[in-house]
Amino acid sequence: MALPIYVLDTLFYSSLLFLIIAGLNLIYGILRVVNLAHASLFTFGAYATAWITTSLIVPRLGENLLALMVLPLVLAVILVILVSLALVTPLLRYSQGRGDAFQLIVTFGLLIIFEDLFKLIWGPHPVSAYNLFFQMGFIDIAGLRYPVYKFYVILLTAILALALWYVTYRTAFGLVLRASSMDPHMATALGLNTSRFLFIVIVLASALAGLGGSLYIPVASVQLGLSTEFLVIAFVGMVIGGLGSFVGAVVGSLIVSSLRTLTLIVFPELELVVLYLVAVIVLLWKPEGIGGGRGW
Amino acid sequence: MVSRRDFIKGLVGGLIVGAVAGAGAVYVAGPRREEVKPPEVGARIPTTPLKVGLQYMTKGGGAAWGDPTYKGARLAIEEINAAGGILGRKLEFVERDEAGADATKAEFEKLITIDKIDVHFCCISSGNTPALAPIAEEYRVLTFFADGCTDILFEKVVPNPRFTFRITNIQSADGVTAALGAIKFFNLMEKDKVRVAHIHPDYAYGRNAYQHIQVVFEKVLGKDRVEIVYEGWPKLFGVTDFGPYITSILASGADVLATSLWAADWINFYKQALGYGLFKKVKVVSTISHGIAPHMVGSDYPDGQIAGVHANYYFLYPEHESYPLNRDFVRRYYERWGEYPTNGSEGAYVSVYLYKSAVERAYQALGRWPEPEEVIPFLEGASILGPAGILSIRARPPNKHQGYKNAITGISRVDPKLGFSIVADPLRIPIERVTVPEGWEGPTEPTMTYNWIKATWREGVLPI
Repeated sequence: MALPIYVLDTLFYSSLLFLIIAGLNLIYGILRVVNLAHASLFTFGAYATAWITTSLIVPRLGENLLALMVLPLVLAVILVILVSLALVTPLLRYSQGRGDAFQLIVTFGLLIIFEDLFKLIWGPHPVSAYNLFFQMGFIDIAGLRYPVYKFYVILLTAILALALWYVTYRTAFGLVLRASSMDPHMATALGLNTSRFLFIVIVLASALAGLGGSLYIPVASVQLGLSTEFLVIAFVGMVIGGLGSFVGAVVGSLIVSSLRTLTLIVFPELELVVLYLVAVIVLLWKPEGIGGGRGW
Repeated sequence: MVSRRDFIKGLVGGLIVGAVAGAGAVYVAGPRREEVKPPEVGARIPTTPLKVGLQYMTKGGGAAWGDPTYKGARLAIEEINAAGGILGRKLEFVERDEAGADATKAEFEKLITIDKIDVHFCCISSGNTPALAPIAEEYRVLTFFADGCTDILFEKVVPNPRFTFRITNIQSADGVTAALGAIKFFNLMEKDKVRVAHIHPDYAYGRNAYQHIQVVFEKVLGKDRVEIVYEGWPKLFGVTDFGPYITSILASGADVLATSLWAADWINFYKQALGYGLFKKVKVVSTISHGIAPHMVGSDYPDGQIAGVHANYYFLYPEHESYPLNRDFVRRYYERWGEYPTNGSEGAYVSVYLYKSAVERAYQALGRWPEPEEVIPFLEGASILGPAGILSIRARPPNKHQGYKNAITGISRVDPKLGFSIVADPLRIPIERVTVPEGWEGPTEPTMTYNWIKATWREGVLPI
């Protein structure tokens, strides 16, 4: 019976989605900017990890499991944060409070710039680095082989989600985070250092996207146009889960991923139709999203 | 300036010559030692450069296909310019995006009205050729489609084209060739029952591949012996984790997996499928697995699967030692771009030379630079020797203006010298065995080839 594998694959895909949606929601919750270029950071993380793995790590250290697990991920996330601070942050800050249309055009422009940069650096062909996927090996589940790497991603994301939850709901920083997402003006009036705070938020969101891309690349190749594909699905998850909230990111990614697997098993041709249909129903029935969208 | 009288005189002359011009003409793609004699001083050749439109998908997921296609056209343009241009006119290209149908149409109209192109080379997508062909016909712009090979283009959308031509083999040949390859290489005729799983991208190409693989299986093996146990329709470049699909295929107990996933979709699928052990349980027949830049199909690709190349061309065939035209093309392409050509590269390369040859032949007949309609007779029924072998342009319906060359598929095998998986044991199928012939009349739904197979192939007999 293939059911356990379907469940695991659902969790795996929702892990990747969560890492994107959480960052999108964080930016939207705090800055009130819908960042269309956010998924480009995910893609950048994927490209960077592939490049670091195949050009730096494997030629020097071989297929060393620990090195493959740690080094590409850490280096790629640092790179993504740096690029985000240099390219994305100034534009996000500039877009803040300038209206939806302005933000959409600016961040969409950024997405196109990223696409051309990817092509310039990595070319038009798909880029992959499956080393870790195969190095971690496979186990038998219900008579079928299953990659251990997917367990690793699910586990790592679950730990990260728990840590994010803890920071959000159990620390002073989380209190400020939630307060400023509910009423940014009041938070500033109460003495919050907005500039430093926004810096941390953007770094965190970028790191999540970069991490997502980095965890994605050992399973699948990255190619031009990938950002848009993930962006669209992530938006559906954002809408279903609830704009701008942590719980929304968890709920949204789980629902989107489960719907995808279910339709694939029952009626594969309707995969996207079902996804959009559910998003429409949620918008009509509970516009703030299932997970509540009052802010991070 | 050509006077009206001259123009009409030339046109009439051109039509008379043209009536017999194309048929039998054999051109050669590639730099030649003996070029057409350059026009004399004062000959009626415009002194301006020839404006060439290029529109191949070089952005997004389709870039993996469109970029090598674009490179093929560029190589031909560079070679022609290095040899002095076409009748002394240098080629100047203007590049615009190929994307979705609406955007591609808008960009094409800009090429015509703003850039004022003389000739157009374009398209890899089957969604775009039917969108552009009516515009090319309306504006009377000679247009050569490298790919975008949907059967509906010349069967339904423009059944009697004048200005549009297509170079790569027609789409139905792809599914038919793959299925015949599977029956032959996997000895499916000897099996009592064949359980088939299908996974195809959810758009025109995937549907076409599915229909033609299935009709061949059912006709050749017999309907009762073929059972579809699974169908998957992932959105083109919309799925990155194929885990659930692979699990479903494995759970279905299929003997054969038929697929037309391409570029990044196929790379993702096969790498993940390796992890799940799919290739140990299921034989894979692909229409197009080896159709992207050859080095992209890694050395981990399993041997012994049907390795499709869009039923068109693989850079190793015709064999270099016996066919220098291919050897030299591959060498020049590699020197220029640092990678081996794809069937898209070959198609686009041949398109440009086909146009050049037809213009030169028209010039020889007319004594002046030909108008676009005067080139047409020198294309219809013409053949061109290209890197892939001989390509013939059909002059009459069905599929008038479609280019035909022998179809090819083979078995995947890792080549230790090249370091990637290649198409080995090439199976070359005469194109007339797998596609609806000139003059055949029958229904066009879903394609004429589909109905021709149903109506004319003998059940239980392998037609190759």
